[in-house]
Amino acid sequence: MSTDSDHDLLPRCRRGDEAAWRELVSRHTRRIFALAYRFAGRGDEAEDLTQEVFVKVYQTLDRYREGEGSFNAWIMAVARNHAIDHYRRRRMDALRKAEEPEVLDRLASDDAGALHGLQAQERVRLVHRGLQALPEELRVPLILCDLQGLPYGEIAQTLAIPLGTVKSRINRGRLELAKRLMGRRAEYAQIR
Amino acid sequence: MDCRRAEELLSDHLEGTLQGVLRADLEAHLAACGACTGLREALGDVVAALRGFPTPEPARDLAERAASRALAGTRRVAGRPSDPSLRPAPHGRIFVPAWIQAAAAGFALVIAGTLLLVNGPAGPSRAATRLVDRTVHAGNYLLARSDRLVEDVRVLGVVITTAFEGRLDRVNDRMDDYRRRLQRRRTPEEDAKKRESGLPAPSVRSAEGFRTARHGDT
Repeated sequence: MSTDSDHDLLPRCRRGDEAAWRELVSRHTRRIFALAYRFAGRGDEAEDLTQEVFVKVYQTLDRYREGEGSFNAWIMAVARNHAIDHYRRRRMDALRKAEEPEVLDRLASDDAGALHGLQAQERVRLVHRGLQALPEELRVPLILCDLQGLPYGEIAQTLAIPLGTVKSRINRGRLELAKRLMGRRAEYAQIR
Repeated sequence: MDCRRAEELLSDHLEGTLQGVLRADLEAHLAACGACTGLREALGDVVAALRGFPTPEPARDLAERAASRALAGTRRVAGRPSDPSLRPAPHGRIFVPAWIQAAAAGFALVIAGTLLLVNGPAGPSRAATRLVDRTVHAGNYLLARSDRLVEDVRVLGVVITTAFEGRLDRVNDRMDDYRRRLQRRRTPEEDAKKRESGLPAPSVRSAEGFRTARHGDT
């Protein structure tokens, strides 16, 4: 791996240096894929999204200005906006069919003390399913907040909605998922 | 404080941003309400689950494929020959011949028009009937001009979507755009060729506007 910084690689990418471009992509693929996966909920679709993001980044490299923030922040903003657009295009019907992520199967399931009647693996699976089923207006802010860790202000800016609306939607999204979890716990308690 | 109000404040409480009287009121409510206490607890578990959601590893060759796809899709270096190996893999998508796409598009247009007639924005109406007529006509035209299929499907998709959303006033604008697009495409040679082949030449009627009553119309 090259020791050049992103800022060293960028001018070379702009001049059409393939090796520099491949190096830049290699550095950012993992994070872009993780973000895409949050939105898509499926590995194959997240891979497609990741590739589309890099196509877009390559086409718009000239728009990035070093003085306006880090390249990492810029590329993540491009990826986020693309993922949101993609999500809105696809609508919920297709996304509701999201596959059960294999990563959930690898979760540890022995922290019984924190489970309150549900195994951790099942709880995460339930939350994941619930997240897939949320309407777009609740799901997108929730992903940006709790999965991407964006502050409320940045979410409001990204989605072009008021700060109060962002907070309200995030709370509503969480409540929807919490009620699902409570319902499942009640079923579990009856079985026991 | 009632349960509805308490629910509104739970995220703020969870994040520690709730202060003063509101916080005291909410905590008093939680102390007395088992349902809201359970919800608050579940909310904490949800946020923990979301924040601790595992991140899957991308395929090993994803970076290579992504870089190649961007390079193949953009000619940043003038004159560089296109390398077929750099083109993106089809990801198992099925290639559908153009004639099947054309038939499917025409069929979809007819079905869409019929549905619109039955369940249109304001139920069966003269306006909806006329739109069906235009839609079917446009579908037939589309089938006859499969060479420009993709663009036509896209434009007509916009028209139909606009109609289904009940914005009939905007359908006119969309159809006017479409008519202008067709007129730009037409050349005297094309019209002559159409006449020789016996197919109907693309007439203005095929892209005629869909008229809705405007203020002051009679």
